Amino acid sequence: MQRTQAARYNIVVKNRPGELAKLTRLLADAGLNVSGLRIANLGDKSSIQFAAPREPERRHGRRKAGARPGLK
Amino acid sequence: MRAPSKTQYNVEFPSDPGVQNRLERLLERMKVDRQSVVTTRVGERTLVQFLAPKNDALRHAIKELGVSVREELIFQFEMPNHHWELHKLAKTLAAEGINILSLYSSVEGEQMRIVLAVDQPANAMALIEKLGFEPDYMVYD
Repeated sequence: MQRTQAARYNIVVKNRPGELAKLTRLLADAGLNVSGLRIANLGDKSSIQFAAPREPERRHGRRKAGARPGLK
Repeated sequence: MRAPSKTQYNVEFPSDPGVQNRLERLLERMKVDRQSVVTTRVGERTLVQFLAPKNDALRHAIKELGVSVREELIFQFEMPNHHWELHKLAKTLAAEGINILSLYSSVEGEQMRIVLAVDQPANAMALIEKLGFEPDYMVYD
C-alpha cells in the first residue's frame, strides 16, 4: 500500500469573509484534499489549521506545471 | 429543522497557564460533557473552544474566573471530501459576506462532516441547502 505523507499547517489570516476561500482555492488548484480543518477567531485574527498531503493525490488539470501551494 | 442540541463555548483570556488550569478544573468539577476541544493561541491571547450542552450555570461560572466567554450557535452538515467542494462552500459564504466564526471538520470515508458557526446562521444554512447539503442544528458526537 502506498502511503502519502501529510503535514499539519497552521496559518493566521485576517478575520473577515473570504480568507478561507482564498486558501481553499489555492488547495483546490494544487489538488490537495484537507482533513482536520479547524478555524478559530481571536479578535481581528483568524487561525486556520488543517492537515494535507505533502503531494497531491493526483495531478489536477488546473494545476500549473511545477506550481506548489504557497504554504509551509 | 431540529432544535440546537449543543452550543459552542468560546473562552478567551490572556495567555496564562494558570487561567487555563482554572478553566480545566472548573469544567471537570462541573462534569461538562464537552467535545471538539480546541485551544488556539494567537499572540498573547488564548482561545479555548468546546462544544457542550447549553448551560447557563456553566457560562456564569466561567465568567467568574474573570475571562471572556461567548456562545455561538452551531450547525453541522456533511459534504463530499473533495477540495473543490470545500472551495465551493467557502466561496459561496464569502460571496454573501458571511464570516466564519469557527469551523471543525472530520473526515469519515468519502464524506467530510463540518460543524460550523457563522455570523449569519440562517442565511448560511439556506445557501448550504442550495448547494445540495443538509445542514442541521442537531450536532451529534
